This record gives sequence, structure tokens and C-alpha cells, in this order.
Amino acid sequence: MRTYACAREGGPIYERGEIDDWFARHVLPHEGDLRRWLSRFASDLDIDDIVQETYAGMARHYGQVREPRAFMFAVARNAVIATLKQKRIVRIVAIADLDSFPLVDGAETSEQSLVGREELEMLQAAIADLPDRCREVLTLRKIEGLPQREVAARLGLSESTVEKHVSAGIRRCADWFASVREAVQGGASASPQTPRKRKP
Amino acid sequence: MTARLSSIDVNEIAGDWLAREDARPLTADERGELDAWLAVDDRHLGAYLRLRAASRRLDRLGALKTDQPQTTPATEPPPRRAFFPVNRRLAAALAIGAVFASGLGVWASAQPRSYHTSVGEMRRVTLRDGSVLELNTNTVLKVAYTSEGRDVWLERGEGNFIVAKDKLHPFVVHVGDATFTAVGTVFSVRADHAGPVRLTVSEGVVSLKAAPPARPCYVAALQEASLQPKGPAPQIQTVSFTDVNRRLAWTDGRIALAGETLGQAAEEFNRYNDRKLVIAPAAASARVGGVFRTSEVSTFARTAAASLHLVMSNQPDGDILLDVESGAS
Repeated sequence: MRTYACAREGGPIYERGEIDDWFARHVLPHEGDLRRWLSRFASDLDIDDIVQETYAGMARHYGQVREPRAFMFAVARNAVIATLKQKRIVRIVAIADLDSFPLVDGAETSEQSLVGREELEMLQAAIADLPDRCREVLTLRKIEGLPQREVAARLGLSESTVEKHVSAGIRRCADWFASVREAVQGGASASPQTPRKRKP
Repeated sequence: MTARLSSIDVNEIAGDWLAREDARPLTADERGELDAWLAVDDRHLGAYLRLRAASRRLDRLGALKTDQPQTTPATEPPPRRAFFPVNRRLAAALAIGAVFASGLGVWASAQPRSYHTSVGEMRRVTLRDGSVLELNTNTVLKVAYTSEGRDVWLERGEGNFIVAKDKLHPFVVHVGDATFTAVGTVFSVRADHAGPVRLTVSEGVVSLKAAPPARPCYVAALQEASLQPKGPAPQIQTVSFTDVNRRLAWTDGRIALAGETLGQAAEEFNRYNDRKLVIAPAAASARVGGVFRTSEVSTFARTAAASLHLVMSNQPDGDILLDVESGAS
């Protein structure tokens, strides 16, 4: 077990709000590319595991990263290698494959190019893709900015149900954002992830 | 230390914490519980930060809305799936289909048209409505478009169907007596050798009817159903996005293995190649992973032999045999 860089300047790193901005602007937009690369070269691993490890690894170096995209692929590569070592499956694709990640192309574009109306459309599309109830809840919470209690009252739901919808909605939207870049590039056939149910 | 959670559970728990924080400030106890949970596994922290980023991004929506009053009011559902990649593909396919339809009029006839691939061949066909058929190796299927609907008979092999939306004309894939009905969806059906028919849904919902008079059941995106010919009710299970991608690796001309036995891997390669890979029983249970070109059976055999310490030999009929080293048990 490793610990995250924390306890400096008042509390864990995730309590500093700017890290969310950084992930939202410079990391999340590359997640689709990362997943595509992983599904080519690490399809025998749980890609969600690797992505989660990657975010944690990046958080540990937050503030020192100049090229988030390149760094993201490097952290993911290390996570793949570490996971392969733990697994008993014999890997017969050369690790060299892992070096073929697309560092050069589309380097640091991220979503800075998405401004105004374009970004608005993308966010709307993400929300539009949600199931009805979930969409209503997220619209009232995130766009209208109503407090949870009021959202619950307006829709005739319990607060805990509203909370469940917010949780599911954010998870779905995260998957949606992670798939968009691929769509913009007209890439391979993968479609955005829809949320999964908890395994029985 | 608690048991390792699956990535799906991690994501769900992270989402629940985030939703709670979003609703109100955490109590000191909750704060402590969250901190402990985040510290116990890197993936917990990663999932949590990832969802926080997504949530932050959604907050932008509220801000942008106020910046741009000319857009639709928030209560009205925005246009659906503006950036959906499959739809993009469909749009392109639709355009091509339209050119052919107007130019040739081939599709005016209700006569079924037949498509097939030989061993190792893959083929992509765009139909007049923009739907796309992808045929895997050694596949035979027939297509009939009539005023009632769009029917496809999968007689052998495997197909992936990217279906253009058209509510008036249901898109139905028939395998024997079983039917798979879709309206605007992406799914694949595999019906080879004696095994069960396998349905994998990438997007949307497919209604599966085993054989009359069975009642239809519904299989949604990221679910898979297997159907035994004349067997019991279809078995439905949830699969991950990664699994679906792996199932569809063939549309890229690849085989994606994820811990299958060497025997299963050989079966997979043998679907695509006349030159068969034969695995000695003693070697058949070793597990392998990786992504390979469907045609490169000898590359696969060589690398498998090298990493699993097997002996590779060419048989008189050209087949490749992998066996344990002589002297080994």
C-alpha cells in the first residue's frame, strides 16, 4: 500500500479544489485516447483498474506535471507493467508494444479548444444521454443549482434517492467525457460507455 | 485489510461519496471514513478524483448556460447524443447508402440477397438505409428489405450489426427459429459450430425471442445472452465495456485474448485460418493473453512456444503443433 502525497499545507491533496480543475481540463479529455490505447495493448487487464490507478498516480505528482497527456500515458504504462507482474497470465505480447503510445500527435490540445457554445453542446449531450430521472435530477442540481432538499421535494423523491441519481449521473457523465475525444476524431468503433450495474 | 473491490464497485462507492459531499458538508466521522477509504487503495483515490473532475466539468454547464441565453431552456431535454461516435459512423454510412440506392435501384427488390465470407475473410456491407453489416470469418447471411421490415438470416458464423434507426421497419436477425429484434442499436450475433448462439449488445436494446412460442426477453447494452439451440431460456449476463471491445476485435482484424486457455486460443485462430493450430492435451490448459492479427497464426504459435516453453513443429499437412517439451510431464 502506498500513500498519496498529502498532509502538506493543510490536508490531503484532494481537498485542494484546484486539482479538480486540472483533472477536468487536462486529464479527463485524454481518457478516451488512453482507454483506446489500453484496449489495444492491455486488453487482458481490467482497464478501469488501470485508469483508476492512473488518476491516483497523477494526483501524487500534481503541480509538477508539464505535459499531462504524456504523463498520463507514462503512469498508465507503469500501472500495466505492475499489474502484469502480479497476474499469473503469461503475457506474450512484447512489452515493447506498450511503448507505441501516441505521444506526439494531438499533444496538449485538451479541451481548451472547446469553448463557449461547443462545450455547452458537449455537456448537454452528456446530460441528454442519461436516463430520464437521472437527467432531471442532474439538471436541477447542476444547472439550476437547486439544493438537494429542494430537488427531492420538487420531484417527489427522497433525498437519498436524489443522492443515488447524482452518483449514477456523475459516473455516467465521466464515462461519457472519457469517450468524446475519440468521437471528435472519428476514431474506431468504440461507443461511449454506458454505466454498469454492480456485479452480483 | 479488506478484500479488493472490483473497479465497478470502486467507481460506485466513489460516486456515492461524491454525491453525499455534493449534497451537504460531511460530518467529521464521515470525513474520517472517506479519508480511510481513499488511503486503502490507489484505485479508490483515482476513481474519486476522476469523478470529481467530471462533476467539476458539469458545473461548467450551469455557468455556460447563463452566459448563453439564446440556447434552449434547461428544462427542455437537449438534442440527444450529438457526439455519439456510432451515429457519426451511421451518418457517413447513410450518405454512401443513399448514393447507391438512388443510382442503382438494386434494393427495390424484396428478393433476399446473400453475403458470405470465406475462412479468414472479413467484410463490411452498407445497406441502403445506412445500416452496416460486418461479417466475420466463414459467415453466410441473407438480407431482405421489404415494406414490412428489415430481415437478416444468419446461417453461419458471426455478424456485427450497426442498425440505422427506423421504427417503422424493425431490424430482425434470425438464427434458426430464434429472432433478435432491434430498433437503432449495435449488436453482434455469433452462431458457429455446435455451441450456443451468442448475442452481444454494444448499444441500445435487443429483443430476443428464442423460438416461437417463447416470450421475448430484452438484452441491453453491455449485456450478453447465450442461447442453446432448443435449450432452456437464454442466459443473460452483464459484461464490461472492455469485454465488448474484445468481442469485437475481429472488426479490426484482430483476436484479443484475456487469459483464455491455449486450447481456446487455438480454436479462435482456427476460425480464421485454413492452416490449423493443434495443441497437445498436455499444453492445452496454459493461459494466454494479448492481441494478435487473425491471420498471424504462426507468429502466435512462435511467441506462445517461446514464452510457455513449448515445442513447435510443422505437421505434414501444414498444420502447426504445440506440445510440451519431451521429457517434461
